[in-house]
Amino acid sequence: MRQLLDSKLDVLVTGGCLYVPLRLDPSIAAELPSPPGGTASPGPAAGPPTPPLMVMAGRPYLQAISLPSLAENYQAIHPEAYEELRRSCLGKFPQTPLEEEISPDRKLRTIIFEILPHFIKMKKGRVPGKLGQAEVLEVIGRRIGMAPEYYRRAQRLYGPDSLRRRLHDLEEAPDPGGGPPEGLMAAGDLRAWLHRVLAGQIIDQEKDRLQRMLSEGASLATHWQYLALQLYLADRGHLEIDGCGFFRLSRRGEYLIYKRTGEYALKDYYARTYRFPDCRVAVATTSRLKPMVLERYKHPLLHGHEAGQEICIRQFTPAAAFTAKNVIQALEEGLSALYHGYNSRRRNGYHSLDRITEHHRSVDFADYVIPPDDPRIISGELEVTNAYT
Amino acid sequence: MDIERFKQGRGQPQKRPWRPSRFTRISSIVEAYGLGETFLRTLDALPESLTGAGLRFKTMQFKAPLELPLFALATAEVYDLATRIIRKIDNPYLDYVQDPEEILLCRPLFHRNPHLGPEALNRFHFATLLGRELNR
Repeated sequence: MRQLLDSKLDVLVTGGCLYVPLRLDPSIAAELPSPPGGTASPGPAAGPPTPPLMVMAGRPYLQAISLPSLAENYQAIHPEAYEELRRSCLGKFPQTPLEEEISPDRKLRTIIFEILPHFIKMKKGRVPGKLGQAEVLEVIGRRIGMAPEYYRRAQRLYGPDSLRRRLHDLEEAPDPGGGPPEGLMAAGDLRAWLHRVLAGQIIDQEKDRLQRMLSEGASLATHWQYLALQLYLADRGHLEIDGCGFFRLSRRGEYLIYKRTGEYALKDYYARTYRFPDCRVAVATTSRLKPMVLERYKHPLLHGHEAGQEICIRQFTPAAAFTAKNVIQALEEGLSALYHGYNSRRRNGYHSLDRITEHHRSVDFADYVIPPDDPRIISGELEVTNAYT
Repeated sequence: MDIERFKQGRGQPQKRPWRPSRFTRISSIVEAYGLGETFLRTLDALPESLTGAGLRFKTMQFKAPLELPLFALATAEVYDLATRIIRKIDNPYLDYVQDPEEILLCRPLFHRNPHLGPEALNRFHFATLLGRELNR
């Protein structure tokens, strides 16, 4: 659709329907009611109010799409273009920055309100996954020790006076005009009309949102907290609670979400114990949700000894869609593979912990060996995670 | 394998390699070279029977490369021009043209020698073929 609107084609609009020039070959031309290039015969080629084919100035035009429907569903059809338009449209009212202006994507919301709570350790009797948005923000703010300055800045930006000023400005915005234009026109003219209509929609939605926020005092407090958190993120670039965190990637609106393994131990065929250091298991939102290690790390289920390696996991197909459930599953699969994936009897994976032969090995774990009576093992601080595999 | 069915199959027409249609070829050339009414006027002005007087052809001219689509869907203008060219030059040599110059020389070449085979038409530029015919 965008290609058409950006093209130099002439399009026809009749009865709210968009008609595009029909391209021809001899078989198509034979089916036309009047041959192209013949006499100008404006008007419908058949009886119904919006016929599938119109001939205007000797050229055939094919019915494509209803313009009101296009304007109504443009956000779903071209979300990125709509977001861009939304930003440019609301950017003309610079009274207060919106939460989306700091972070225009919905991914951050999913990470903060659905993924992080899954990994946050709570007091007994409280289930982190069941927390409301306000509680999640409150817990996060407390755990990361967010400076009160961020709340003050958020309140200043999102205060009732500021919101009322913005609402007033939005109400002063010019009317987008009437319905779709009629007749033959350049695609650029149609694009200009569509943008006007979409701008009207965006302003109406924003007005509704601001009015709703002003009428709901409690919700406003949540918005302050959320905005404060975003201001914190904008300053720091990352957030971590209880070993689970995320940081922004250089690509706009994309994140790397991770969970720390902590120290753990694995045993080999001869029941020797190997202590594995802490490492971050992560998934990136840019592509399929494949768990990988962020640090330079070695493990029987990793191919080499370097950073950013994907973890070898059997019978796991990484999901393509970014949802909280998929991210949590990918992270848990990655952690589980590192903790429990290596079987000391089968010596599965790329490498075995114990030396089977004396040949040179690309990855060696001899430096990880710890005595079986290591105090951390005895005290239970360090757990042998593949003891039962 | 049923031998009878195999024998029956012998009589069936052989499959031929697929070729783009004449319309596909001409509309692609019209679109690629941006031809218009001027080209059609030049085509009208060119006599069908060339005598060779005052004409100088290169001894060897190669065919211009042309990548044809499987099917062509043309705009109304291109369709109009392509069908008018096809109607005006109604001879089988039109299936071998690869550039506007060959379209122009198609009628004179067919007029001089209507028995040229596909191999020659595919291989040599029509200017080369016409020059050879005129020099005979």
